[in-house]
Order: sequence, then C-alpha cells, then structure tokens
Amino acid sequence: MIPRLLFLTAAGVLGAFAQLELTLYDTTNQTESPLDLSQTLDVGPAAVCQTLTPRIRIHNISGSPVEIETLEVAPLGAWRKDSRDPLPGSSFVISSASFRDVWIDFAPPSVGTFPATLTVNNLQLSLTGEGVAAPEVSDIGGKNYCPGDQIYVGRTQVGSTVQTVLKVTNPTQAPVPALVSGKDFGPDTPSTVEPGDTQQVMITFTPSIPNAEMGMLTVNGMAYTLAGDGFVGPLLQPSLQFSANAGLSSNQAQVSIPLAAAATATAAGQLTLSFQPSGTLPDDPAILLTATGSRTTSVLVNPGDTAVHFQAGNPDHCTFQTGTTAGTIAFTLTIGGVTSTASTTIPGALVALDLATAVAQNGTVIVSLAGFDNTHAASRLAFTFYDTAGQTIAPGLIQSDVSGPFSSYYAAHPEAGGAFSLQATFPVSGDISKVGGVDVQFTNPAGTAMTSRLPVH
Amino acid sequence: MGMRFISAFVLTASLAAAQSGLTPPRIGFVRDSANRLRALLGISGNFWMGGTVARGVIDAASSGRASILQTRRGLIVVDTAGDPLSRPFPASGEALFAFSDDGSPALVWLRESGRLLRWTRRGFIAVPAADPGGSVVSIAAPRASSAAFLIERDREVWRVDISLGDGALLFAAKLPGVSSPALLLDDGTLLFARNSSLVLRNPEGDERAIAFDNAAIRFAPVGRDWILIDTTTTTHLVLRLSTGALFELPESTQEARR
Repeated sequence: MIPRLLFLTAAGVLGAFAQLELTLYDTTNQTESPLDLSQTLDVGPAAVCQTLTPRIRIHNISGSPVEIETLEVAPLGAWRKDSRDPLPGSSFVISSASFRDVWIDFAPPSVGTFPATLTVNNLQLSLTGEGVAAPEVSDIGGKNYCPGDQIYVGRTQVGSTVQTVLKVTNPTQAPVPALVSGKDFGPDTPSTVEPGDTQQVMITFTPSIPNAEMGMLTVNGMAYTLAGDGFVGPLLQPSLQFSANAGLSSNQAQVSIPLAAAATATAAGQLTLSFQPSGTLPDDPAILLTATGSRTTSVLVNPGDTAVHFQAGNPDHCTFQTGTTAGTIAFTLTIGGVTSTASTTIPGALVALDLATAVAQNGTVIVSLAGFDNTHAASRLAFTFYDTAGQTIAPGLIQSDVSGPFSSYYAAHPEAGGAFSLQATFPVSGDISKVGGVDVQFTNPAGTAMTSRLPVH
Repeated sequence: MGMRFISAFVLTASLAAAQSGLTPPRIGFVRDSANRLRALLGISGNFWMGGTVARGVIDAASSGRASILQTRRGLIVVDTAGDPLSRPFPASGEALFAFSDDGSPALVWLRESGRLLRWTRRGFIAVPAADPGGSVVSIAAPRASSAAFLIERDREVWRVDISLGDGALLFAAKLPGVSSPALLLDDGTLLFARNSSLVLRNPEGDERAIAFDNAAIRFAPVGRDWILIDTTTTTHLVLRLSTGALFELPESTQEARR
C-alpha cells in the first residue's frame, strides 16, 4: 500500500509541471526566453538602493484552465513581489494556451549576494541577484535617498532662493559625476565626487513661477527627483545700515540689514562687498568681511524675521574692514528677488599712526612708526628732537622727501593697502641720554599730521 | 650743549633702503583655523594674514620678536621672519608659553607631562622638580630666575612662583575674583573674563573692564601688545592691551605671501 501512495503523489506533481511553463520576458526587445527550473535565474547586479524588476511570464500549456493558488517569492528583504502582482492569499486563473505576467522586485539593501525562490503552484524557480556598491545620496539630517526618490528642496518666494545641502558619498573605485538639471534648480555646474570621498552638493531652487516645480539630480547616471514650491508674496524691503565708523580707514565697521516689515517666507541670498579706490589708487585686499575673510557672505531670512541674518559670524551684523585706502566701499544685497545697495565713501585723510616709539640705543635714536596713509602719497616726513629740558636739538627740523621710498613700497606691497611700518635711525653726537623727545610730522595730500611728543626711552 | 643729530641724510638713506626701513607692519604670528602658523600683519582695525611658516601646529604664541610653537614634530622657536631658531625639541600635547620682557622666548609648560622647560642659548632645557600644584592656566616669566604660574585649584585661581634653579616654591597667593581662562603677563598684569567684560588687572590691583559679549576659552599672546582670544564661536578676536581695543581677525581663507 505504501509504495502505491508514493507513486500517485509523484504523478500529481508531474501533472502540475506539465500544465505550466515559465519564461523571462524582455520588455525592451519584447522577446521571451524559456526558464530552465534546474538553473538559477541571475537577474544581474543592482546598485544598493536600485531596483531591478524581472518580468516572469506564466504560460498555461495544458488544454484546460489552471488556477494559480500559490505565487510567492521568499525570503523577503532584497526580494519582493511587485505591487502589480496579486496580493498574497488571492488566486487567479490562466486560461488554456494563455499566459499571465508577474513582476519580481530585486532591491539589494547592501552589498552582497541574495538568493531567493519564486514559487508558482508547484513550480520553483531559483533566483539570485547581487548588490553592488553605488553612490549614496543623503541629506544633512541623515535621511538616505534612492534613485527615483523625491528630494524636497523647499518652498520660497518667486525670485528668491532656497537651498538644501545633500551629501554624495562615492564608495566605488571611479569618480562619480553629480549633475543638477531643471529650469530653476542649481547649481549649473556639475561636480565630481572622487573615489572614497563624500562631497556636499548645495542644491538651490530659485522659482521663476508661483508653482510646484521639478528638477533632477543625476548621480552616476541614477536620477533623483528634485521638487520645490514657488509662491508670490510681498517683496522684502531690506535697508543696509552702517555703523558710524564705516567712513573711516583702518576701522572694523558693521553693516546690518533691517527689514521694513517682517518676512513672510524663507529666502536666502548674498551680500557682496566691492571697493572702488579713489583716483588711480589700487585695490586694497584688506577691505573684506572678517567672518568669511572674503568679500561675500551668505544671508538668510526666515518667516517672521525683521532683519536679514548672516550665516557666518554674528547673525545680526557683519563686520568689515574699511582698509587703508581712500575710496568707496559698496555693498550689494540680493535676496528674495530684491537687490539693494548702499555705499560708504572714505575720503583721503591725514596720515594716522597706530604705533610710534623712540628709543636711544648705541649712539642713535631709533624712531619706529606704524600706521597708514590712505592716499598712498606721503610726501614729507619731518622730525624735531628735544632735549630733556624741552629745548630743540640742532639742527632743528630734520625733514626728508619720502615720496620715492613710499611709492616703491606701495608698488612692492599691494597687500598692505596704505599701511606701513618704518624705522628711522638718527646718529647722535654728544650725550644721547639728554635726548628727551621727538615730534613727528607726516605730510600727504590731505595735510600734515603731527604726533604728540614721543618720549625717547 | 654739544649734542646734535649728525645729518638728515641718514634718515633719507634709511628710508631709501626699503627692505629695512619701510615694511608692512608685522604684529607677530598666529595659528589659523587650519592649524598653520601664519604671519599676522596690520595695524589696529586692519589685519591680514601672511604666508604659512609651519603646519600641524598644536599651540603657538608670539611676542612679535619671537614665536614658540608646539607642532607634531615638537617645540620650535622661530624669529620675526618665521625662520627656525632651533631644531624641534621633542615634546607632545598642548603647551603654554611665556616670553621675557624683551620678547625673547622664556618658558614652556607641557600640560600632558607636567614639565617646565626654559629657553637658553642652547635650546630648551627642563627645569627640575617644577610642580606648581594645580591645573596650570597660564605661565609667565616676570624674572629670569623664576616662573610665574596661574593655576586652578578647587575652582580658585592662584598665582604660584617657582624658582627656575631648583623648582622651589617662591610665592603663592589666591587671586580673588579671577577665573579661568586667564592670562598672566610678564609685568604681572592679569587678563580674564568676568560677566560681560574682559578685565585687565594690574599688579597693584587696579582693574580696567573692556566690554565683551563673547565667551572666551583661551588667551594667547600673538605679538607685543596683542592677545588672541579664542571664543566659543568661530570668531577669533585680538585685544590690544595698551588701548583695550578689541578686533575681529579676518577668517583665513587662502594662502598669502610671506
């Protein structure tokens, strides 16, 4: 009895085999390849985060309808049935000489090999797929994105810019290009992430229309959807305000940017400093924003803000060096579709000394001076020495035409602007301990500056 | 009276030699945010960074005349041009530095090993048995024969002077109202933060308060009359001791000419 039962079971199984046949359908070429159930179907490598969806066609090759009671893939994880397939527990019937397509998703969660089995009634097809390293995209909050995911850049007023920072990690052995496309999305220039590196990509969205817009981030050929919303709102009304010392050379002044009314939306922008020297004077590289060490800084407003905030240094104001060259320092603010400018003019001024000392040493008096001449045109330097009783020491006024040396100095040191340091050495005959003080006069086109009497130490 | 200045032409000659007579004003050296030692040039309110003279700098201080820096290679002393005056002295970890009144290198306190070094013509040598007895906040060289420490003990700051000859304790006094971070200058003046002020307290106890709306975490001399103040923000400030003026140092974004 027992041998007979075994025979019947095997016959039933063989019958089911005979009813169904599986093929792999190539969607692109619209061709079918028979699947040999004794072989493993390798769906090919997929990047981590990428999904491959082989399309399996189930043929009913029998002369009567066949009910498909079991259609499942296991284990789940890297593999799953596609959403187009029947739900678990439901069945369907394939008519005689007809077929039905099912889709299997392979989405490797990590690098490695992932085997699985597809079961169709009594048929079992072995599957395998490989997860391979691929560039990863995440935001600064740590959220990871897969190709096809939507990345929301933000909502902002038409003409203003909102931005989000994405991190692109390249675990592969080859450089990976990252490119943003889409009318109002930036940056326009692609970046390249070197093997093993992580690079930040600043995605900008500057809506030109009050609507939802889409763009695309393409990393190594894999596309991520960028989305942003533009709307029309009241324009920002910023005004640039300077601290009282902004018109004086060799000062650290502040610019702040109050708004006429509280902002209703987020907007990002830029504040740029430019310098137009007086006449033919050269640029002065020390005229810069201290927080960035450059002439630009990023600014931001959030809903409810009553002033534009700076993203580097103090958020409420921006410190800038006024330099040591006469001219006009101009600021241009671009934010929320609005451009606002303001400037401060620094006129030519008397030579100013920041440090002045006089020291008697080895039969000489050494006068050390450090300061600036914002006209870059000092012409005369004069000294008058006094004894300890306050009487002038011969020969009295000692003066020198310094226009040549200063001209050479400024040409050789453009980084210094109008700042300088000099040492003048005066050999003394007689008792040097009797030298009590010195007056210094410095002449430039703005006039003659005089020091208070420097004691000789 | 028989005393006179020999000639006005000496001045002219000196100025004409622009390499020596007329130069960009140099304050000293400063460690930048990339741990490079950079020349700090400029005058009050107008600063710029010069070229890099050392990389991998852990700590640095400058008197204007000389600078001491702790690097991954050890302690190095450089002159006003940034040229080394010595071979690297083997030392590791954070360090505090002191200069003599004339700006020459004087002392180094190595936090990790608790060692005191003094600078001599032959380089650094260790001071035997120098233990100030607390967490060292600052170090100064008021005299050639002694080292002055600010130490923190039980949340109180003390000044402790030690003989450089044998490490013997010479003087110890609690400094009421002083908290760390603090800096002891070679003339005995103290610099520390209190409430919304920086305070300069001279040896007689007279105080000058300077408005300060930051939180200081470290003071270090970067030139004669100039103190660098590292804050809890990314802003680096410099204080001019003689005027009490505070300035922001421009963030160093690029290499510059030395």
